[in-house]
Amino acid sequence: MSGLTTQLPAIGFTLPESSGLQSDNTNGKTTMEQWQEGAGNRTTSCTHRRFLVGSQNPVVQKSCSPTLTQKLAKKSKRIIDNSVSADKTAKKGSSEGQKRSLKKGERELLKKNVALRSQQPYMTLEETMRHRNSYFHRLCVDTLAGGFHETFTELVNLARQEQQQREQEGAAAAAQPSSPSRPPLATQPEKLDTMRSCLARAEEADMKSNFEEEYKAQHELARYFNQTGDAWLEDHMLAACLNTSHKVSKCKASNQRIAESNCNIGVSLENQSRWSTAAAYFESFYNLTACQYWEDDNGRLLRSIACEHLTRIYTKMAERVSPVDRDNAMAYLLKAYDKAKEGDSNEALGATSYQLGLAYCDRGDQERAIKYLTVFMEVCQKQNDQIGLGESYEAIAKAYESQGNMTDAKTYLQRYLEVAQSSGHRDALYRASLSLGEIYNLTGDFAAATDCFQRAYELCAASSPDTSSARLAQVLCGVTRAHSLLLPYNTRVVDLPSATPALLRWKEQRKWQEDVE
Amino acid sequence: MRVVNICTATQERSPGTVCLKMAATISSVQCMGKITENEMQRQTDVITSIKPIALPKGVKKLCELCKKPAFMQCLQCRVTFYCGSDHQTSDWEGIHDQICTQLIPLRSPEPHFSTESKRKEHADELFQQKRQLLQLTRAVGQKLLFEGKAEKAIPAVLQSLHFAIEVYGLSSIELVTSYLMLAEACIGLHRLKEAEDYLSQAQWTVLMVPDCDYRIKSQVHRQIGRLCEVKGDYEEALRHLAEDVYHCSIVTSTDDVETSGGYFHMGNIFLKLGKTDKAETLYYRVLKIWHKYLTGIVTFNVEEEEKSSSLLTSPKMINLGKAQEAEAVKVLSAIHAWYSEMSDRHQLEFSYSCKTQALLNFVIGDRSQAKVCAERALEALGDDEKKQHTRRAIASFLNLCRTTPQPSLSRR
Repeated sequence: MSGLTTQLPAIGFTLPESSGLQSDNTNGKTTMEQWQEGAGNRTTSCTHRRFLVGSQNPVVQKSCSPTLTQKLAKKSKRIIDNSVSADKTAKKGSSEGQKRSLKKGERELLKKNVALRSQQPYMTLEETMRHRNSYFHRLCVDTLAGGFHETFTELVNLARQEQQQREQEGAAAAAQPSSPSRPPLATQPEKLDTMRSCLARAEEADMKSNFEEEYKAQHELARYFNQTGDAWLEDHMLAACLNTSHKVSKCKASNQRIAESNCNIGVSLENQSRWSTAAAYFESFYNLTACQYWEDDNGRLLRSIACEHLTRIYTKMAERVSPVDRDNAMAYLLKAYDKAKEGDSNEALGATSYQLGLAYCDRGDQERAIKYLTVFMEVCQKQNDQIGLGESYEAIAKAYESQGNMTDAKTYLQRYLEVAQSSGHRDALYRASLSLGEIYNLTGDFAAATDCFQRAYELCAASSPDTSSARLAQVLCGVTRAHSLLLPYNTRVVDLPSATPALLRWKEQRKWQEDVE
Repeated sequence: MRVVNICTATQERSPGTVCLKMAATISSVQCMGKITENEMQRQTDVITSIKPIALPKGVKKLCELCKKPAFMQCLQCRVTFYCGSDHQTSDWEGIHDQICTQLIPLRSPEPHFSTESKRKEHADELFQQKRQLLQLTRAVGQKLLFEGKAEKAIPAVLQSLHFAIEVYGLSSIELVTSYLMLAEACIGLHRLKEAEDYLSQAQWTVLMVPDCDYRIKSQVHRQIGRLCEVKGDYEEALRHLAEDVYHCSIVTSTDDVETSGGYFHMGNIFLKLGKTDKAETLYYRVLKIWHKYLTGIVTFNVEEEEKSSSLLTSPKMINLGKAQEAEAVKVLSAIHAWYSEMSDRHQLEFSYSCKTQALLNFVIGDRSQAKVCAERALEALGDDEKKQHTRRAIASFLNLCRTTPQPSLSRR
């Protein structure tokens, strides 16, 4: 209780030694008595008071008090609470009786402690606060004292939002203790520092109505969150970017920043697999870039970037819905194809046209399938993409085949085989051989078919003779060989009436008789 | 000469019993205004002089305010003493008038009771009475502070501190409120050293009770911030105000009315530091917070009134508390004055500030003033196409001012 007065300077103010506020005259106690009671406290300054008070010799009191009070005043500006020995002395003293004066040894010990303490560094109010409060607290106060109240608001609200999220997840997480828990935002100094610096920069720029700069700062923070993997924080910052971009567009009469932020939000949403919303943002990005020749940092037209994003997202959406809803999948693919055609990426165009071709093929619309596949083929030719070319040939051949156009199918498969041979791609070669063999088989050219299957078998047998593909080729080869024997069998066995008895005879004798013929 | 000697001797003998700080505070309390003849008459009715030297040995009568040896006695209660008529007048006007008779049982010697239970009963009674007096003195002090009568408030607040110490003990958190009020009064009277001492006490108490109410924490920091501001230590002031805002926003929200006070003072400091842009954003933020809050109240009250008029029940209105009202008036008028100076540059903000003023007047119950403010807001808005929405909002509010009957909302 009485330990308050002289400790006070430690928190920034100096108070006169005997503050009247402390005294409580209703108790009828003098300050001295209170001091003596206070000596039992563990605070070191109390020890000194006891020393001061306990010595009944007025001379000692007189001689000691000025120096001691001086020391007290000095000492109290520091945070010192590590002197165990002083505490011990205090305890001992208080237990043995209040009015006993200290022995010489104890006095020396005390003096030593005072000397020790005087060597400790001075601490300012700020430093003591640093020890006392959490990092988040300090950061917030620093930010506010710098006048960045919007930044502060953002920090506090984000931390609170996270806290609420945690609490909501808390119940769910309790059921699954194995789920990894992320540390709360308020305990991650690195993140907090980055947030603070970026947000403060943004706020400063906002104050000067320099919205371009504000946008950049916010965008930087969003990218940082992207790296650290905090999706919700990234979303939050991207939304802030979008807001700022509207301000930018008012100043600069250019919607480029709006378009960019729409694109960024789309990408972020796409990463979280929220495709339909992402597609909406990409659409607005696409619409904003209409008739504009904006370029990004790498000199690429934003328009084509928009097309690329849209193509990708529509393809993904098509993939997702295709097993359930083929019409919708087709619609998405068509949209993707449109955007790909507009964009400058040949690869995207090729990929979408190939998928579209396949989809049409599935639906039985061979005409269109061949049309789109041809586009793919052309793209591959332009790009000199041997594998893609092979795939396109194969797909076109299949389309022709299901159309019943065997000659065209055969030509494309032959081309496929050529491409496969020239590229040396073993798998493609195998598939090409098999397909071609099948076509030959269907058209009745069994010798050619056998050749093809033979080649396919050899291809496999060379590396792994006992795999399913090798066996398949083997079987097919056998089948076609059998097929090739059908004609002689028909002409020589079925058509000749004497052939069957001759065969039976041979079967009994197991000897080849030339005269049977 | 002898009297003086005795005085000093008394003081020396019992350093603990004398509230030196209070003495310092009060010794500089000057007699308020001129004492009229009527007053003189009243004083002679109420007080009588005593001679300290004639008192029995061991009995010391001390001044109620400064704890120096007393020469006067209150005739009504006969338990209160003063060193001079100055302090008697201050105390009478400040608080004694209202608590005079209630002090008698507290200060007269304990009557003799034969049983333990009786004694306990008596003690309990006294305790309850002290609590009531604490509340009363605190309320009176607060009211006087809100009215800006810092000097007059000091006796009441000091009394409240006495009672708080008696009821809760020396190191209780309950004392902080009184310390803060004293500090506020001292800052108001520009007695910085004393204000600093009181605030140190308050801060220390808060430090010792780490999980005390956030309001107390933030209030302590706010007062310290204001003190530093008056002293010219702007860096320190900003830090303390930031602490204030932090504590408030952690518990309530960053855009709460309670938080806005911190923002306002920070704005003041930034203005003094010459950082006008920062000050402006802070002021605008305070305006926004109050605007939202007051709009909420007005809408609620109007709806409530309609409901009650259809159901013929009495409406349950929200009113600003006294403290809040005082703060609102102070803060908003300061901001309004600032924007009026800058009205040529910040037309939109000026109009916004006018509207907030209008809302405040409406909530307080001053319809005509609200109307004037709203009209000014409309005028300041100019006729820009983009501001149509705002215009319409103000116009509808103006309409509300005209149509709703004056007394119904101002019933307080």
